[in-house]
Amino acid sequence: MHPNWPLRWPAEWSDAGALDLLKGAPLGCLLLPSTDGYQNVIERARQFDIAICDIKHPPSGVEMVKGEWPGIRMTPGEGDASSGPTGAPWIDSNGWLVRLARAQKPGGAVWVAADPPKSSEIVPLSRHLVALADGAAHGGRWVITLDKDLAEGLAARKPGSVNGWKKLMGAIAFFQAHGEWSAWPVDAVLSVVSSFSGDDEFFSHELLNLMARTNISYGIVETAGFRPEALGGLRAVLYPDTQPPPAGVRQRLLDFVERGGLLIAGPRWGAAPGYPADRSGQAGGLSHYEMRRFGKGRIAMAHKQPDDPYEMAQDAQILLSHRYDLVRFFNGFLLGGYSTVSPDGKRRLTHIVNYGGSADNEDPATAHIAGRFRSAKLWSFESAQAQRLEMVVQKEAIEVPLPGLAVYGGVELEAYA
Amino acid sequence: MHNTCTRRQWLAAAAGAVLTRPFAAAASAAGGPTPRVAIAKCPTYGPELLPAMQRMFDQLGGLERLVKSKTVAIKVNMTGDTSYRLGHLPAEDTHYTHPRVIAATVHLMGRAGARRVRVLESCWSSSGPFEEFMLQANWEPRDILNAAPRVEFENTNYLGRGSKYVRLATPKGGHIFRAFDLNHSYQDCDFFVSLAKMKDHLTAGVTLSIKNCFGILPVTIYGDGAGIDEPSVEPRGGRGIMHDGHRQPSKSAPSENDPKTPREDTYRIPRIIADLVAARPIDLAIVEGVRSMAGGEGPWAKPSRAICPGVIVAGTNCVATDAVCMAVMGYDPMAVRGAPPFEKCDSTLQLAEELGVGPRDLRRIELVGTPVREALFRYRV
Repeated sequence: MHPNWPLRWPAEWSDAGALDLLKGAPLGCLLLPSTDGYQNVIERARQFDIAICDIKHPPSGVEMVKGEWPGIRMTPGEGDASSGPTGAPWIDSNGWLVRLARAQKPGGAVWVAADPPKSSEIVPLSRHLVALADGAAHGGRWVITLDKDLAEGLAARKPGSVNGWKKLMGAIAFFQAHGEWSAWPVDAVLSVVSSFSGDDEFFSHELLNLMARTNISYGIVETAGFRPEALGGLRAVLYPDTQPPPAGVRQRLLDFVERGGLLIAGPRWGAAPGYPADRSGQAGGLSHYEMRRFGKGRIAMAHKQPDDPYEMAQDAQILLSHRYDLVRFFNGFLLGGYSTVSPDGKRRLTHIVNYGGSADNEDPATAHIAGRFRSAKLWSFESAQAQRLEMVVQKEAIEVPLPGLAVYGGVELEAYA
Repeated sequence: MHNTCTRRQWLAAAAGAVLTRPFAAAASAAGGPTPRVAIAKCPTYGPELLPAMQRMFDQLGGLERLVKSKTVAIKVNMTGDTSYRLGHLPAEDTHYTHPRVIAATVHLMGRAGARRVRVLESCWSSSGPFEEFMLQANWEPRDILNAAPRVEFENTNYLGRGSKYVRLATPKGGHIFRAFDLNHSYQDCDFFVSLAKMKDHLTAGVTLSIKNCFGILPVTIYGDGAGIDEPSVEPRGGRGIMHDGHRQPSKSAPSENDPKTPREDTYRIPRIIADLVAARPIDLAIVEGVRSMAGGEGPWAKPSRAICPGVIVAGTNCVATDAVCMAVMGYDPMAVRGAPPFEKCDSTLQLAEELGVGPRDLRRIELVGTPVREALFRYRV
């Protein structure tokens, strides 16, 4: 666990005395616009054992990525949630970005920062909490970035602002108390294998972003430094690149297919081995793919190189099938899930972020989680102790209610031995 | 609160009609053949389901004479998004046709010699395979696929597996539409079944076998994301333009007869549904109310509650079948706008009757099986 949790020095704070708020707070690093001209702040921060750095130059071992404020995108002027092409609410998350950065630089810490809200923007506390939970659930750290109202309120020690600050610090302390979670690997059924760079950077990055909006629990594997064990336990691999994979990677992916896996790719992959899986030539009812059999597995080859990451993400879900969904939410229209597994494989943890920022008691949510489990409990900001969840056992799955989940819940499941 | 003297009188008449079938036959003699409707009590989706349905079909004269060597299309009711629930209850226990009822129907169709059984639904905002939609609802599509030989699924919310949309004309010109462009499956069948859920409906009063057919409209032509000139490729969103009429369907399809008619959903939806079942006649209506919900057609209807009526109704005439369902639900099938459950809308049954689809007067319907008074489950309390 990296000790620091970053706070961006708010433009509204002119007095180093504001740093008194940080006394005893679980924050470890203050990010300044520049180390010049902030001598008072720097000296005061040192008294509280808080590291200082220039926001453009994060500490060694930290990868700083530029994200956005997570949440539900609203339609300007209409007060309604904006929606994607399917009509589902459009959720912005930095999860994919954090995960990609971690995959590219294993072992390092990932901080995700977004520009401060415009001074005219009203930012409810729940939005700060959602941003924090979104980053932490995926193993990163959201750079605490106060909005104008909260920063000024804190400087003036307004009770409402101080109370909000305490909640924010409580959420950080929660994730710090569960620091081991960030080392739990994703419980993936499909991995995106790509260079994630060069001509394929935009498409592959956008694909990861949009895959996160589907219900696929996916992993991220770079072709550079590819290790065959990265394919362990997967049902499918998606190769979106416009360049054929390196020969070694290609052979490993074909080995994966021969053993029973599914490979989804475009024609730039090169000639696909095997033979057509059925007379229709279609794959999973998708006419723009051909399904081929190879060994015990299948290759879904797009007739033309996919050029729409949204479509490819949707296609991947159909080609893989919802049969292999690890988690489904009911009445969880604004929920996002990220499934992980403990290193010893005995426990599963599904991080759930409510991007709406408030509990929906009228339509209470349910999580349907694939697998058989001995017990389930829910971790949340509201309690230091996990709350035991009643499981409704189904065929090879369980359902658990998610009572009053306002911002974050971690459903921890104990597997049968 | 809605249990008026008029309804009591009507319930008495309904019960009387059950007991005096010769009267029903005589009454209908003047107005055409008397449709027969069967009612079965069925408290759960357990072992009693299949025999109950078999018995009902036998009471209707047997499935074999209806479906042997035919391609059967079954439109089920899976309205809205699969992830929406009433509380924590599975959708099939409230607003979706239960998969066991679908499987039982498919099985009995197969046993009766159907050449092929195609299960249809216009999956919410998706061009994905219907099987995937079922999986998202936690259903196992193989349970239905394996219930009979040669079972297929098709998502009819777009062109689907067809090469073009088919045009079906509304007899007598229709109330709103003189014809509809639909997925090929609604024409490429010899026998069409509406397998519905017994529910209330916010806009149309009741959701029964007739209202179930609102879902045969492809949103690529009749939905909010429909193409202006041609159908869109991907189905997106709902059928809001059918509700409020703020725009016409894609120009490739027949437009409304009179775009100056009221733009109110409570006027339009009952008429459009009546037009639909006139254009695509229902050969067998099955309405499942083993478990259901009252207060609306889906969890978005507030307030609403889960209920267990424990009843299934089936008949070869959809208006007659829905009329009997209304009686079972505690409503007067002869009710018109202003009376429950049509306080705010026109009666789809009345409008379908005007198009010659069938009778809603219980005196013109032959009831078999469980009497209405024994199956009665009041949806309004």
